[in-house]
Amino acid sequence: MSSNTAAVPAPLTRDETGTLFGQTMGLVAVTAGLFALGAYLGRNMSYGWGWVFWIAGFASLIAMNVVAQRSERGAVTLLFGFGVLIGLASAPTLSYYASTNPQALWQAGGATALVIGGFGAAGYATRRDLSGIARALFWALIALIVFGIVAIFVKIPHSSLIYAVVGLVIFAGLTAYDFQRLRNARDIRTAPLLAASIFLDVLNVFLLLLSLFGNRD
Amino acid sequence: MSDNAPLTVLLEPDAVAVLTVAAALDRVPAAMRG
Repeated sequence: MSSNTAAVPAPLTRDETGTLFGQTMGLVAVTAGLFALGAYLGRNMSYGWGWVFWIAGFASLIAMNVVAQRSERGAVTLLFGFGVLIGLASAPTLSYYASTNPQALWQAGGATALVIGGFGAAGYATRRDLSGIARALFWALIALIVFGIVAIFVKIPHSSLIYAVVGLVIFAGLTAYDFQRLRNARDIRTAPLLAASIFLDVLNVFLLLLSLFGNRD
Repeated sequence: MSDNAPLTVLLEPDAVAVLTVAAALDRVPAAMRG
């Protein structure tokens, strides 16, 4: 992740790259499981509590970025805590869709697996350097966040649809880039940070598809 | 946004997108350098 440290570790062997891939995806799977547990535990929670847990999850993510440089075990613990906290934070939204349009949850889950599997495999396999595209997508994501906030207060026709479609294009690209980072990573200690990035790609794609499928008339 | 969902539901994708930006913060200086 942070490559501006003095000592650059030697490139990983093919076996070590496979280990890093397995470890990272294992961490993503456990984090996703803990997210589901958090979402289940918080299913009857108020929207206000959701925001409290979102702030706690945000703090845990920042702490993980700091701790990851010193302790892999500490970073993994914070990653798992982050999964539970964001599950609790998202619980009221998931409960809303479960009560208004439960089918959308299944559709969004299946479509998320296809999007992540497809773009993740493409990013892992491609020889083209995606870092330039990722830079552009990062700034596009910030613009999209601003658009999303403005669209809450200003009536923009089809804003939900525009947000979801543009968001999916951005996260398709960021997913491919994160899997390319996973292939090119040289330090096994980056696994928790890579896992957090990939987990967030999955969660963003899921929520965007959920708003797309859940708000259909 | 355009539907009748509660504000928190409408803001949820934005809130998680903000987390993605936060997760990438240590890469931002490199991104700004281009």
